[in-house]
Amino acid sequence: MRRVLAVVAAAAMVAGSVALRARLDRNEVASSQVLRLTCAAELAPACEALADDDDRIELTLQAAGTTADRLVTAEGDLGLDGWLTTAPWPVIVDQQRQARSLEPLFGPPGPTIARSPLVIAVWKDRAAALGPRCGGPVGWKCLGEAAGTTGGWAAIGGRPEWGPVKVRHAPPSTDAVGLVVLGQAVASWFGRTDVSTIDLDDEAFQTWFAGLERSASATGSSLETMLAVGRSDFDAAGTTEAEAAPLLARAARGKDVDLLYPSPMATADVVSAVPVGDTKVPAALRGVAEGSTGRRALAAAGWRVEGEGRAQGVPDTPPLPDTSGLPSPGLLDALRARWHEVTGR
Amino acid sequence: MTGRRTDRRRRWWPVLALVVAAMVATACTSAKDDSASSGGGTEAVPEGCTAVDLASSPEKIDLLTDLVRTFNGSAASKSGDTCAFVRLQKKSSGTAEQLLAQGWPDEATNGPRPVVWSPASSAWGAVLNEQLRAAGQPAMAPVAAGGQAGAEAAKPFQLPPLVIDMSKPMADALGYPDTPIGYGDILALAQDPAGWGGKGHPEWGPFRLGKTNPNFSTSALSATVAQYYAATGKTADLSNEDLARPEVDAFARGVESSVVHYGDITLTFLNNWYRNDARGTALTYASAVAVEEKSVIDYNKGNPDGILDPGEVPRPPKIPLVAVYPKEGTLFSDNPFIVLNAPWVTPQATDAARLFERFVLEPENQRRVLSFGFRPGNSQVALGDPITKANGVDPDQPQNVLGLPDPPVLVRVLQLWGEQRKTARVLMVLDVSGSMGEPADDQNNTKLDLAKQAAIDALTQFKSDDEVGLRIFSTEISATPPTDYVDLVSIGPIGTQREQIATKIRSLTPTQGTPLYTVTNDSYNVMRESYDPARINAVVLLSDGKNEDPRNSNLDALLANLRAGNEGQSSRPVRVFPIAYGKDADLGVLRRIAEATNAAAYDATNPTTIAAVLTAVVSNF
Repeated sequence: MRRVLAVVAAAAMVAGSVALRARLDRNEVASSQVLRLTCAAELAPACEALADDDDRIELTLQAAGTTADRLVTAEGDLGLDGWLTTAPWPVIVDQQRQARSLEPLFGPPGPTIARSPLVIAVWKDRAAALGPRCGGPVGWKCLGEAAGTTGGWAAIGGRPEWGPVKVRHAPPSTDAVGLVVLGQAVASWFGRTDVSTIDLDDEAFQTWFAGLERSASATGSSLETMLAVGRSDFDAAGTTEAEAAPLLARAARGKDVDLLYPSPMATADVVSAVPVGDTKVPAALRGVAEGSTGRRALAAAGWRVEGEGRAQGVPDTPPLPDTSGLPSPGLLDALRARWHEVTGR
Repeated sequence: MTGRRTDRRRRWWPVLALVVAAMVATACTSAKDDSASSGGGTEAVPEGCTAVDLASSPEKIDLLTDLVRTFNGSAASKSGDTCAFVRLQKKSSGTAEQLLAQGWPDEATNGPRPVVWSPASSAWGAVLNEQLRAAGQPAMAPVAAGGQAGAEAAKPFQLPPLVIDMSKPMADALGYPDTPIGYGDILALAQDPAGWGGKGHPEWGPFRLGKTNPNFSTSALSATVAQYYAATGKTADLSNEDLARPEVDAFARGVESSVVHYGDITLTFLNNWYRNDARGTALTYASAVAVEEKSVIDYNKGNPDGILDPGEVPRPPKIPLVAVYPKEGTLFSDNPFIVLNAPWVTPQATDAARLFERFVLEPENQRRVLSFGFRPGNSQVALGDPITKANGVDPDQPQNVLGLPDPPVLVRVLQLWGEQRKTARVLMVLDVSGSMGEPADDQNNTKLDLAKQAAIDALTQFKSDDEVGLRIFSTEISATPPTDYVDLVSIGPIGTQREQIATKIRSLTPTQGTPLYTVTNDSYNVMRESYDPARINAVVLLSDGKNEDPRNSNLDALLANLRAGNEGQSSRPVRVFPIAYGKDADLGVLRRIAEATNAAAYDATNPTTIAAVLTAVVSNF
């Protein structure tokens, strides 16, 4: 008898759920429009959480530079209704379009959804060896000089078997974070953020820039790989606190690495960009991306989000600066081209 | 558009989804029970699941088989609407790269088109992308080495470094580990006329390097790249201009000149080394072989090929090996998990593949990776046993990693190796006994027909200054002594007689019986008498039957003769590479012949595989 009742109950549950689904479908007709969200690849965990939470979202994960290069000349259907990335990629796209006499695609930048300070993860013994040369905390200017030194570590107070000084960051031509890290490094060399493209022709800067960028292997292995492989891979890596802090908290070799916040501090800022010519779809998408689900997902992925808690390993300090602390979007775009010239990649 | 696409519209209501999920879970669990081994795409995919065909390089196939068994049917194989079912197939990195460059033709022969490709190194992905680019096709492998954005690039799931593995007494003689050793030291030793005598050990003879063919083997590709770096003094950004420098060319040729013979896989060397260890001749078989670190661990545990057959009890060697981490730096085999951007890969398959990727990278499974002797790709897992000094490896090494060259440079490295590799002197010995006239496939081809075509194709793999000759054998094939074989083309530069050999092969017809021992012995002797120390000296012996010669049935005498010539400090090593062709071939005897000459036997008992087998055989030269 109990078996029969169980079967009847199960059948009722199935029928009920079918009916409920059908009713909900009728009510959601107006909001069942597909939302095509393109996300910078670094934001994958947060964007996948968004897509999991909202059935309307059709998600594309793509390197920011790849998306930008496509949008610069795009006409008609852009293939996306919204773009979640880091600043200032949408501005770079519009500036490049204007330079080509094309209409800008995006409206004014939306509010910053999440932020993360830019950091340098450096093996402690390497940081100790660099300390006297840097005359203080290790920063980009000092790292670049060390990387460009003939003779590698042996010539700057390290051990000969450490070989050349190797510093990595993600490729600025494609990666969202790679571009802002390079921007911070360049601002660090000049000691200011109002760097112009003419400044990039400075001979001393060019020497430093070439030394820094040529020290990195073309493979562009990740911070995760650097921690897995050990010191032989890279001596130091520039990235976001969002990537580095949780990783160092989990990594077996995490205790061997210093997490440095180069001064002046700069941040990667997550923004959502929607095409102008307001339609309900982009507006809805912005609502999703900037809503509580998106904010929580970004916080869980290591980003600092106002009003949300911190992911494991992400500290409350240092406090964030008021602005990103980066050079202008035009200068960052010029750095992409300069990086191509120097590295050949 | 590149990147992952995730379409999660119209998911079913959670209650109903639970009901469906329960049914799917049952189906998947049943399938798991049936999948004791991963059958290279032949397993039925449980209803509701998406097949994820995975082509993996051979050295990690045991590990992946273990992981796939655990994954299929588990909770980790399901997420939302997606249920993944992984089917594993073994493909050497170079072979898979070449198949992908051709769009993976002929699934019946080559296995199913993969959704995921895990070669031993991202370098293969870069080579593939470069070849596709040159052909005007889009890139297929999202690897960092191919210029892919870092955040999009395929993730490594294990990271064994390339090492130079040496017998411990030899490494000791070079002062290792207190004195770092590099490729420059190997070149100096290889070019020293006194050989090991210059290091106080004349009894070890000349320096002998074992190396695989970089067109197929990742450790060989990495070793070749590392050699070029050593020649330039650089550690990154190797360029085509560097490769063109005369001193770099001379360095590369110098290192290659010390090669004993090439091989399609490193396990051939390790198995032979282990057998020589048992015979007490390990120190005169090889001085050093470029392998992945894991191989040193396996060898020292008494499991040289890393595969324990049922009932096999590992027995540590008398003389252990040590891993030398080259002082110039080395490369890691990053074993990327590449979800292909190929036309046959659907978004559903991509989503399903990601589930397995996530599973493999979990710390618990990465600890299994470590237990197999690989360095884990997940930084959460600390290095530990078996990567210990007691096993001949050093967790604190290497000190430096070399940069993987850009794809065009990698392609050029492969081209140059074809020119700079040690030249070969090879006698091709083909069985034309009556049984070669038997049908071999459903297109009316005989075994001899297929062998002839494969042999003609294989001739193109020799470089022009290799020396090749052609001998055929069958009982009473000649009216005058020797009556059991005929030299159709004498050994000479193949550049001038390639077509002549091909013409002779085309004209072959089946005749009498199989005087296997006589022709093996005489072919070996003639090559030994005309031994050229500047070349790899070898016999390729293709046979489809057992010895059918009552006048000479003494296998022990044959093996003793072969072994005697290949042992000792002043040996004149002539390797015999037998191919067991067709179901009646005597693979067991042919293996013993190969082992007696420190070579390898090849299995072409399925005649339709002869073309691929001959390609593998010729990769030894």
